[in-house]
Amino acid sequence: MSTNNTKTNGGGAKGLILKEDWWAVWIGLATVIVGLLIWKFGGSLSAITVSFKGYTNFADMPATVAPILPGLLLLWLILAIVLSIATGIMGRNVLHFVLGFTVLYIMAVIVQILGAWSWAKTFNIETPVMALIIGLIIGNLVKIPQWFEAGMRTEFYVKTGIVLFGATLPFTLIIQAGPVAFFQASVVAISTFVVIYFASTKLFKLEKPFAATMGAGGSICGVSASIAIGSAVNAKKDHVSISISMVVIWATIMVFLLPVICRALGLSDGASGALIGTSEFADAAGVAAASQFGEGASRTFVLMKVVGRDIFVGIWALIMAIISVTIWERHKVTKANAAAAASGELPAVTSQKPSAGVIWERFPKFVVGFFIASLIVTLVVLATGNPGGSIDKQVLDPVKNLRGWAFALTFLCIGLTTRFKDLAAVGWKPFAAFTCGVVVNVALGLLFSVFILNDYWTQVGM
Amino acid sequence: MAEASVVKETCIQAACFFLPFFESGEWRRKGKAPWKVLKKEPGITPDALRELAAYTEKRISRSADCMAALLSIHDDWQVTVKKDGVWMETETMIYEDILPRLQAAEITEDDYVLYSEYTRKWGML
Repeated sequence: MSTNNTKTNGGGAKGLILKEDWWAVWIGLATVIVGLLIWKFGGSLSAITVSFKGYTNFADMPATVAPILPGLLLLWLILAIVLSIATGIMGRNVLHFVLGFTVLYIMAVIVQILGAWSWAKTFNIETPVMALIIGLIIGNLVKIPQWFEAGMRTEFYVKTGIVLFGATLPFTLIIQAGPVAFFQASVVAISTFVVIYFASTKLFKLEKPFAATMGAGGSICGVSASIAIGSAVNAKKDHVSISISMVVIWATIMVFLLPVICRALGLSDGASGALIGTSEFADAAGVAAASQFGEGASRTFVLMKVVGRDIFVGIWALIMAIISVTIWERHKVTKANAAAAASGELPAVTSQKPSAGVIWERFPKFVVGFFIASLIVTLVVLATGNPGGSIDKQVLDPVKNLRGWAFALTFLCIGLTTRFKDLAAVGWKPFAAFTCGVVVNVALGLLFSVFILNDYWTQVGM
Repeated sequence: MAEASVVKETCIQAACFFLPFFESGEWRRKGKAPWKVLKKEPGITPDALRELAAYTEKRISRSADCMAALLSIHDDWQVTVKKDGVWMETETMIYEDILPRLQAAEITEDDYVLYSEYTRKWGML
């Protein structure tokens, strides 16, 4: 039985080696530190990275790919070993993972080869979109075997990619832009949460813990927030499942819709990333949407989503747990226990008073890795003066390349794991309540990113 | 398990029951538990200790009853003993199915603390 994230196992020090979040931190930071050490001794991490050169005629593709085949094999070997060690320690089936990861890696190679074709670029079908579309088609039309499922670790890949992203963002930029991102994200997140919560409870008469779980999913950080808040308020399993489905449905729609809106409005890369960071529901889906623009969009997206929104989840979990214990459950206990027993409903249950420890317990740990990676590189750059831009070329460019691989795997996983038939039967009331939040979320995201802070995000993205 | 849900599952629930040694649910709602009161009493007496012993015996006995009820409801539990109580945890039965049976076994909500921990299904976005 797997109990990685539960009360009796995986907590405390054990969590450092049993939780996916922490493995994303270890792998991301180890990559950055090893990269810096190799640079210190005159080498470069680029020895293990692989890039795909663009080509115009499809007939030229084999000649473009052939020289990089040994590099692709080496990269597969390194990734397979590192990720398998993590998977094994987390208690998963390593053989299944290796098989699944290998197929996923081959798919990522194919998608990147096709994404480098100038024909695909003409139609804006670059690697992220192509991976999503191919993944969605295969995932929804073909029955995926269990061993392949084991390799589809969407969150693991995206979290590792985000830790690597931290290395490429100067810590000073995070300090400067972080508060602005936090302000914009907070206004939009709180508004969205309130709309979903009150639409759920007042308009559609849904249970309060259910409303809070959906509200968190639509406002803070998608599935992770639904899970954190659902756990904090003891929401029913069906309700958490529906909330996750809502997030996945809308996140998948937004991957395609938000870039269309950004292009239609002629937004800069920076403003596009800020809008996607504000209004996309899941980190992985947001990365896929922002990657359709330049590096500046990815930068403002990460600032908005990771710095502005993801760090919010622990505080929000504590607030909701306090409300749950002090208001909802006390009300149930004092007034409704006997009635519930008579009517066959679930008895009210007592909870411990939540402590501030909940903030750390629910905090997405990969964000810590993101900040540390940024801090390490910034300090090394300051200490050494980055002679001749060598850190950029020999450390950060390879890190960006590896980050690109992590995200390519993520995009494929999003498509492959988003099976619409598995998301059915959510009911019209939760859907309507969540959609009210989506409308407010996107409208406020546009207001901030396009009108109020457009110049600011454009500059940050340059 | 109870009847199949119409909702497709996108998450895994770990139902965690904490069976306390030192205070029942009522003390989490009203004032301080006997143990906490005793520790803060300036002049402790033998009678106060005896009262605490009686209370503690009753409390741990109720936790034992609750543990027995949980074991009779389901056979797949991960049991962990900590200094302040027993943790019983399962991922193979949801708490929504467990609570009515606990109620039927006359275990009250004062006898345990419920935590539900969710994790996304493998690979979920």
